[in-house]
Amino acid sequence: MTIAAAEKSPILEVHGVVKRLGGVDILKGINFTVAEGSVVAIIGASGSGKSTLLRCLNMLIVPDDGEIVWKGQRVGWVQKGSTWVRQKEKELLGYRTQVGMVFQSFNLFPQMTALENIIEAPMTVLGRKRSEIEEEAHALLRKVRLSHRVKAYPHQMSGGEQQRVAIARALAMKPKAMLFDEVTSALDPELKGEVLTVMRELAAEGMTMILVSHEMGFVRHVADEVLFMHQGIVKERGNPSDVLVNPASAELQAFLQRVTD
Amino acid sequence: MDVFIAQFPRFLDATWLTIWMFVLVTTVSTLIGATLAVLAEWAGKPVSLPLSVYSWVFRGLPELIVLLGCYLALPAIGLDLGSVGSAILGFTLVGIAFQLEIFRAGLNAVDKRILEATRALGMSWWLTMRRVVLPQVIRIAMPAWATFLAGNVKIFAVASAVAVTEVMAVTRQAIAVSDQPFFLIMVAASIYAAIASILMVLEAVLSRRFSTRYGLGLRR
Repeated sequence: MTIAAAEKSPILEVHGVVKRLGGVDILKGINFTVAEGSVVAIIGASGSGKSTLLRCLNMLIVPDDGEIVWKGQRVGWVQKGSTWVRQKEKELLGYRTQVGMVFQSFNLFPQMTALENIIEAPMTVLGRKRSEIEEEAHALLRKVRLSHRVKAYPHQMSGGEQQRVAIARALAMKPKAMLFDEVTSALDPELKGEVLTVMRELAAEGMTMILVSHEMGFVRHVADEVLFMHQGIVKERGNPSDVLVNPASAELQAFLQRVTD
Repeated sequence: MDVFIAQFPRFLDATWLTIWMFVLVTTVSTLIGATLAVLAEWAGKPVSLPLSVYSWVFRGLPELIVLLGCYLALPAIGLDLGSVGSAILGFTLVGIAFQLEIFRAGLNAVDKRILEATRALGMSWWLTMRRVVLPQVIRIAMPAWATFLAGNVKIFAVASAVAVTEVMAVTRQAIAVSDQPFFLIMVAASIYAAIASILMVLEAVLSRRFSTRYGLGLRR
């Protein structure tokens, strides 16, 4: 982590987050903080709770216990008098607009073109003018190198192109942080690179990023901190050049062996 | 031919009656069926189970029984809708059951992972339905909807059984006062064929339009 990033107050704090799903403890008390402008990578075997944790951060999944704190404010709860009350789904929407998310399966709107996918939420959620946001959408498509695909429908695009549109769609909301959930896992090897390049550029611009990834090379070069999750806890954490090179636990050693094979 | 010319105004009225009953029944049953499909999908078992029973019963019953029930049984409990009213109610009850299933299938075909994306973008449930889900459902359900309607219009001949003077009723009355049953049956057949053909052309046009523009990739 850069010294500048470490000194800044955290933009996101996770305190003792617990989640049970179907009687199984998926997350058993997760703690970490994310400094503004830093990149945190979450790694671990499937079933270790990575994706659940990422969804807790923007309340797509509501934790059973613990706190998510965004810019010093507790997420998902409001104080009424002396008691804390859970927010309803509707009240969480405002928070979600500040945290962009990109998914493994792209999840573009199939009946809309690339451009329409990007301008949809800024128009309908933020109430912005079409002409204004269209200009920004064109700039975002340039940024993800898809200027030539403005009018393409998702089914006409490759996976890599769809995923870059999905990134542009999330960025159009002008989020303060981005969540990436295994965004290259569904892509053919030759298409992963174009998506990772866009992400690397975003990180270089200072975007706060939290990503679940199996791309160890990417994690090593881009992440400021790595969290290794195993059976619902953070088993190891630290600078990627330490953690990934000298794993302390047998679990991480075994995991790294598997993913680098 | 004389009998046709003499009966022409009645055939015209009957055709018109068939068409507007059909349009009314289709509109109402589509709107209610689609709404119930959304409810069945999102309100959970307490709502979806009774709806499943409803659609099972009304898709299974012969239209004639439903119409006779509305025409003969409802007045017994103090609800007399008359012949046209009974026919409209009966066809609508059956129509809702079919539309419910058509739109339910359409909703099921929408990739639910899209809903995570809309939530993550801060879109409310209603906004998601209106802007993202329903436009897809309409595209997916369109062919099945149009196919159902093209096949459904002929069922309206059954309305003659509850004294509605639609095409079939007028045909029977005309046959009774003439000696040209074959010709008159052909007239009736042509009228139904014409209406059904219009619907089938509409179906083909709509299906092609949607499949060329959005065909692949509705699911991934």
